[in-house]
Amino acid sequence: MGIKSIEVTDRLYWLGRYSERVYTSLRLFAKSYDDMLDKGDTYGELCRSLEIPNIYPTAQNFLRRYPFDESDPNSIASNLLRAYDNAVELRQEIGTEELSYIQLAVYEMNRARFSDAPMLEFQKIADNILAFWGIIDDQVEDENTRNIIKVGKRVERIDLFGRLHASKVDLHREVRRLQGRIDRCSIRYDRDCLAELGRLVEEDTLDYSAIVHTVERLTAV
Amino acid sequence: MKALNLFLEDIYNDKRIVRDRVVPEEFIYASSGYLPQCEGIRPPGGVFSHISGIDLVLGKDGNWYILEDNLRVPSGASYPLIVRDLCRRSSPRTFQEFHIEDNRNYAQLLRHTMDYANVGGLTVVLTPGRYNAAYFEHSYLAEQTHSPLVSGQDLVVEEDGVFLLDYTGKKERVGAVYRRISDDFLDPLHFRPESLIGVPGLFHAYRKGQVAILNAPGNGVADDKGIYYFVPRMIKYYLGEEPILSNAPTYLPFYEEDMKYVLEHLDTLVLKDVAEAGGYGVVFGSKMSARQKEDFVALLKAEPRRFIAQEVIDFQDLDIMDNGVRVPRKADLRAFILSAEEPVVWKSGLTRFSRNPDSFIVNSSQGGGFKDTWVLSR
Amino acid sequence: MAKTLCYAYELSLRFSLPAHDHSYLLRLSPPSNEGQQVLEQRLRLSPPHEGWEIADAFGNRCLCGHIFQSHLQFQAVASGAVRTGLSDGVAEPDPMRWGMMKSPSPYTRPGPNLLALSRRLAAPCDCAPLERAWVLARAVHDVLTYCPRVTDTHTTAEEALTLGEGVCQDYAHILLALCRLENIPARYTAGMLVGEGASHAWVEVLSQGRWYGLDPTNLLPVREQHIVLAWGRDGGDCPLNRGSFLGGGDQTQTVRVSVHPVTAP
Repeated sequence: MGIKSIEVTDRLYWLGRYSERVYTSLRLFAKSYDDMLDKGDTYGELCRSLEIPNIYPTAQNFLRRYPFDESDPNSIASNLLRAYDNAVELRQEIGTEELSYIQLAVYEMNRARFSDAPMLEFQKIADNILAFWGIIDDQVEDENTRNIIKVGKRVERIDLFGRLHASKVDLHREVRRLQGRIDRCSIRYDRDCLAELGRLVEEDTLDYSAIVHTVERLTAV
Repeated sequence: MKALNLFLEDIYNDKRIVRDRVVPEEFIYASSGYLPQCEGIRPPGGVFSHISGIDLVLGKDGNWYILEDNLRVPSGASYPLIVRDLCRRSSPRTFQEFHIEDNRNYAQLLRHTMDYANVGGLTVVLTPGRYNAAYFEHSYLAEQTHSPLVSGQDLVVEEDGVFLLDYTGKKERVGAVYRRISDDFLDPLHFRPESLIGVPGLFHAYRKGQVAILNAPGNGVADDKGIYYFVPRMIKYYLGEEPILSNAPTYLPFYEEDMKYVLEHLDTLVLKDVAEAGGYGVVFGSKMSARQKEDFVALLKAEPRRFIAQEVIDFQDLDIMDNGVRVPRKADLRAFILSAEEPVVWKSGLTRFSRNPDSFIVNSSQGGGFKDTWVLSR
Repeated sequence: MAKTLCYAYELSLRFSLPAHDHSYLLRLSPPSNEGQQVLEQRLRLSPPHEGWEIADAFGNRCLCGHIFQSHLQFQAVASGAVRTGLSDGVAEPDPMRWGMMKSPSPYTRPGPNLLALSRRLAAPCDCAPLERAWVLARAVHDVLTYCPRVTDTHTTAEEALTLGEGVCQDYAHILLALCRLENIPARYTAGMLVGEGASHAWVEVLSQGRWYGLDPTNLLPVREQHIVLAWGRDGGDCPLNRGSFLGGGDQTQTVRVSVHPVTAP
């Protein structure tokens, strides 16, 4: 299937971005949750690094709302639903079986919401997202489809790594992977931005806000 | 199916069946499914109804009866595929011990039907979008037949045909549109102008033979409840054959003697408004109060063309599990027929049952459920 | 009897915001037949682009097009000259084809008021359908008061009759409904009339193998004063212009029609 509509291309890209955002924020949350078990209120730090508004009055409130509150656009649940909203309109591109892993992740999220030990369900959400990425790689024949999702994933990861002040090694690796992928799919992007990004991760002291700013402009064409 | 396709071609072209007075013309032209815009069109291969859903019931007398033909955009073919997959996983022994026809060839049959109709180019599935109740089926059938799933805005009509536009502005010719949008909304230039889900100009590209539309627009005239009465006559007229399956005994109050019968036997009949679908506009004579009957008779006399009356068929009930309890419910079977060179009956079907023990209405839009359907190979 | 009329139909559509992906369909090309002969015709489109012609199911000539680029105004000016009044009626070779013109259509489906009017007008009549249609046309002219802007293109015959007011389209729809209730084949005709203003509509009935035009609004037989543009079961089948576009914000449509006899040189 060579031809892709504008809408399908966009949805594949955002499916990549949201699935990555859910996966990475689950890992961050797991760490934060674990810290809070004995250290108390450390969630402010997480909000700051993700640049999301700290709207949570207490640690308890944060532990309920940040993962589960669908009315909070920054919650993990909201991001997962956005991944699902894109995926459900891509059945014909990615396949029913592939789509079902995103669906299963949504079911696990609903289960976690009522659990006393949500970390157990969170592991299953992460497992389903990993399975989703795996089956996309394994089963989706169209290279363009796979690459658009991966470009979305890489862009999101660079964005998050930039916000979290990840190491130069990590950011360098992610930008290289993006450069290797982006010309192998039909997504439109700004070449100057990509060159700028390559330059930024070579610098001795990384300018994180410039990296975040640049990666966000990359595909906004 | 052959007779219905011949009927559609005849109605929109030579009108022999009207000239020969087999079907009164008022039944055709007053039908809401008749589209004058389709006059003079002979679609590729002479097929109007590519995918047909024929609703059948099994009477207690052991006979199968045809309840209605669905020739517009019958839905439901994806459900037997999903439910079979679940049944095979959860009850493998059933499939080892019985000779059940494999129904997983539906995508192949559908793809063949699409390719047969295609006049050259891509085949696309046109959906009104995610919030349509049948969206799952649209996307599932697109996946299974390897066809792009598109919305109206993805297609553009130019002088030489219909094209799918892509991200880079590249366009590719479309040769067949499996549309899951009703006739009314198909093309705002020719039908309802306020339609936002259609494709402007699609209909005139179809008229010119530049693209096939599955199913053809205007098919509603042949599955109209008023035309149902004439189907056995059509089979004789076009094919010189006797129908194999029976219709439910039907009366047309339009004919004087039928009107007399209907008025005398109101209690044993089911009355259907020909303009309604989806289980709406159906009333049972036995369930009307004296007052309702009076009103209905007045309406019937004023607009005899609007109603048909049928004998109530005593369906055979089918057992279902209701919260873990086995209970009998009314059920019907939608058989799917795909028409390319020849009509082919898919060896499966959608068995629907009513949730409510007193209801005869099985439509999923009114709470009905469905079961796997096994066609035995021996 | 015959006359040469020159005509101009100017359609202008203004948008408050840019519109794009604009598809349109115009029925502004008069047909040549026994009754009228097109001598010349021109079409100007703006923004400038190429359209193409198709014939619809009624045989009407339609001009279609698609404008991709953004624009704030769409204009179509159709003009030309037509020789009219060449015959009394137009022969119909196959009356059986027009069974649809005897059945109610979306805008002519009778309700209680139309049925009552039809019953009131019922009279034994063994005259030709055309003669009977004139009786009905005069009745329509009597029950309706000409009044612009109380009805619109979506008003049905029944609704207009209930209001007692309307424009040419409503006169035509009511007359169509009455003819069809008496089993007289009748079709809606859209076109232009000598003078300045808007487009016009009237009715043609099939009588003894010929279609004859009756103008119930002006109680005029359709002859050299009228230019036919399109036919249908009712106004919904043959709108003179239809469009569909993305964006555009608010839109204002104006139509200006002028038809004048050409004085002999």
